[in-house]
Amino acid sequence: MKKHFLKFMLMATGALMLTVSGCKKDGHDHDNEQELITTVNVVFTPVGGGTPVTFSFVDSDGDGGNTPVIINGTLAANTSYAVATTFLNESVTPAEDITKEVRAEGKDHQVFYQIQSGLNLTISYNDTDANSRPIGLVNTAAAGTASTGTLIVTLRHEPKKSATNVAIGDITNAGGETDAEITFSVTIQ
Amino acid sequence: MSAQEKQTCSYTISGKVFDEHDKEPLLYAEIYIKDLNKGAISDSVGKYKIENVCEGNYVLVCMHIGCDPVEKKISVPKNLKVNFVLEHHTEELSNIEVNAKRLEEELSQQKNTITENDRDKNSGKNLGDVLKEISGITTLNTGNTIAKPVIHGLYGNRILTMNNGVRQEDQQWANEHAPNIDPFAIDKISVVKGSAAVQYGSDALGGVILLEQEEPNAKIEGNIYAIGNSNGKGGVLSANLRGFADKKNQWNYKVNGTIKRSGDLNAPNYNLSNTGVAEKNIFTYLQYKTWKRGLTLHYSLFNTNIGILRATHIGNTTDLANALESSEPYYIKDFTYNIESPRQSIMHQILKAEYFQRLKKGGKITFQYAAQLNARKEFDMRRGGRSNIPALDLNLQTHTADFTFQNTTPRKLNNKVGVSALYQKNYNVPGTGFRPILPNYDAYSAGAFILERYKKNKWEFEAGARYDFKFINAQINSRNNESSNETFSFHNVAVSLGSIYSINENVTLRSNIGSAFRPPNIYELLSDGVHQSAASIEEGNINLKSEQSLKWITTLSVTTFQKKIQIEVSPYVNAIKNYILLQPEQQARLTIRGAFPVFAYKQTNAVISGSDFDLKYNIIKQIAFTQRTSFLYGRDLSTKDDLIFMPPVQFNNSITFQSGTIKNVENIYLTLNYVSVLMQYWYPQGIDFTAPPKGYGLFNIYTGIDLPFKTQRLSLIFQVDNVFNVVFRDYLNRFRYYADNMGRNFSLKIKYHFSHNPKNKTL
Repeated sequence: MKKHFLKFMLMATGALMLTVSGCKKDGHDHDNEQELITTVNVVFTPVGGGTPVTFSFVDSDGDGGNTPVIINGTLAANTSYAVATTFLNESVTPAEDITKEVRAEGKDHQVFYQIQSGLNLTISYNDTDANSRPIGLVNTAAAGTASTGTLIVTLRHEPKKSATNVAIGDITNAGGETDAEITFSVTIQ
Repeated sequence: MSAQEKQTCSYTISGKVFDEHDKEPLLYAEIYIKDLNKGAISDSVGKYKIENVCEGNYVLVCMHIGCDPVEKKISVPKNLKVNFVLEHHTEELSNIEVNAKRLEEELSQQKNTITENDRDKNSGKNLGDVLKEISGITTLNTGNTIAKPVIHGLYGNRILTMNNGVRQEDQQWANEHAPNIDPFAIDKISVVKGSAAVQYGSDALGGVILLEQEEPNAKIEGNIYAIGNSNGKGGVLSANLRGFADKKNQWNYKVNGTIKRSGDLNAPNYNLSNTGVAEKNIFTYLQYKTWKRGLTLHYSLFNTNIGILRATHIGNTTDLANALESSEPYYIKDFTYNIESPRQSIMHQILKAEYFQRLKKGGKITFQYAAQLNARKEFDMRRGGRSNIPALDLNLQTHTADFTFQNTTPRKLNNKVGVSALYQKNYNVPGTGFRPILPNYDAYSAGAFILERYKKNKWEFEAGARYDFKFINAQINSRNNESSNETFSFHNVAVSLGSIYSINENVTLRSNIGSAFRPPNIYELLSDGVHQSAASIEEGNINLKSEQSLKWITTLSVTTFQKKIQIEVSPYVNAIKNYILLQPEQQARLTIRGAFPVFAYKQTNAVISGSDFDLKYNIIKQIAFTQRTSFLYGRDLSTKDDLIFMPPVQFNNSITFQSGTIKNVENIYLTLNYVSVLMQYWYPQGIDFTAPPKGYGLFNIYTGIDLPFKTQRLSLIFQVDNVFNVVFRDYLNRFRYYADNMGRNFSLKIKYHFSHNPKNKTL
């Protein structure tokens, strides 16, 4: 009697475990990386006309995997530029334009441009969010005398846009979380 | 009340058991009341005693190994003496030397149990913080709401939690994942600090946390807890009811419900934004139990929603550097009860069935099946209104089956044997919009163990061995969305050897040397990506082998000075072969968020050694002093450097003033407690983002009274934690890079207890 009961319990468990493990394999649902930023383009278009200069950072398979491809550019001395910065997710087809999301949530985003001293370049914001504070997707730039140096482009999510000097592009008090941070080499000649 | 209704349940049946041949007393005979959950085992002079028997007619059975059971009909209108004479078929029983009290105990190792007083004092806290009442136990924290217990420097998958006999399986691979357990639902919380792998299986390198249920003490009894905290403006409400459901006390039950809600906690100088908690738990069991057999059905549901300090959400190393430089977190808002992203939402369910039976020829078999479902969702700060879509959505399903045989009637050797099996399935619920950091996998494991025990005079020995096999099949999606399978097999053996030497009734020496093992977890094998909150890239290693440990722990317990002083000293050494740890790689990796340091899982040999010290001194009846000290040192033998994240030296001193009964007020006490944690000087250079924080000392005050009223009792506890609102950061709190620990907290705890014994009424 007892033996039968035990046998039954053991068999029942065995059967249960088999049922569970024998279930049909779940399909491999590949989650697309929806928020991945793979590409940052900073395009300098001369105000007086001419060929635009594009700085770009492309890491099409995201963090890890293949190494990112960085393209740096040369700006003309004593020239004014219109600067447009765009963010893309090129890991999906068709590529996703993240710039739109950044613009739509302009209050929660800001792009910062840090210029290494020695590089004669100034970049000024030329767009605003709903609170009349800059987003940094559309800008103007003035290249001065011939020089070289680095330009760090940073996209911050939820920065404190009201903090001191943040509206004029100083990242020091911005806080928030970094969504992109690219270092470009710039030559002005 | 009429006289007929006054049926008492306070009768005692006692007597002696003799051998028919030589009229010698027989020890270790099992005497039990048929159909009742009551019985006893005869002692060294053949005596037995069954207490609290109700009026009625019963059949009393006496069993002994090598004998036929003897039954006697009894009628209980008064205390009874019933003697048994048994006839032996064999002569095998001449040399029995096993302590009956220890027969059904689990191990020769020291088991530290948290007292009811300490439970009440810590009621409302999470499991990790409750366990800190035991010396040698610390916590690895993520803020103040997520606490992973640490036993002698090891945590996560290196310790094991046995939740009512079921090995808790709930994504312990990450440091920010706390055990999903409601302490209110547990009757007894203990820790085995030695390596108890032989009995419990893999992962018990550091020790085992045992969470157990006890049978009701009355026909019906219950507790209601109401707790209010000033810090976080939170409260906890918990109620339980347990009792016997039938006349013969064969059926017993328990239900427990807990609700917890708290808003943002406060550090002394600022609000810790987004650190609220909302928790709802249910626990229930139903048990049928007689002396001969029993069946338990159990279900529990743990459900929590925990906010993660907003300022810890960072994007890259620049953000982390900014956080380390700033004295305050970058995100501080006014107090709120709202729990926003980043947050964790976790549900853990356990369903268990357990059956035991005592065999005619002696011994007890137990069979258990348990199913667990852990659903973990983690929400992050996201763009495009996706913050309400989980960034991590994992379902972990675990099925376990265990079968054990325990010999309760002794021969020269006493043994316990068992087999166990486990099946586990981890599944990423699609739709997160992220490549999963933990792949889908199926894991299978099976094991068998044997434990032998032998006692001679003052010595008692225990030896055990275990074999386990584990197979994992992981389904990996590459960056290019190609699927592949990766399989892993692990064979493991564990052994243990223990002894107890009772020098006299006041001095006991226990020593246990045991091995344990842990196969690497999936994260260690296959992770590959940015660990956001650590601002680093973590790389798994598919060549990892199982960790194999050998822990030697010796406990000397001394009671002296007219029993006024109790001392316990437990030194230990834990040598771990193939210890898995993250080590920095030479090259950083460039990503779109800048360069990240890369850490890869590697294996080394490590040694952790230390000691725990406990002292209790009852200076006079009204004043008691307790002292707990624990220290340890961990070393990586390959790099010849210190191990990272080892708990620093700590001291816990308390002085308690207590008085007996004043009028109708009982157990009046006032405890002054000082906890001091030193700075950790032993840490490896160049791995952590910043040096360990300074040491700190915290003053705490606890005071309480009991108001008894017949079979009811109202207990009031008022306490102040961190009385002086000390600003501090803790080395083992992962939020120390971003913010201070919480400040002063006042709390009021009200416990209402009632019990009811209808047949024992005296009106």
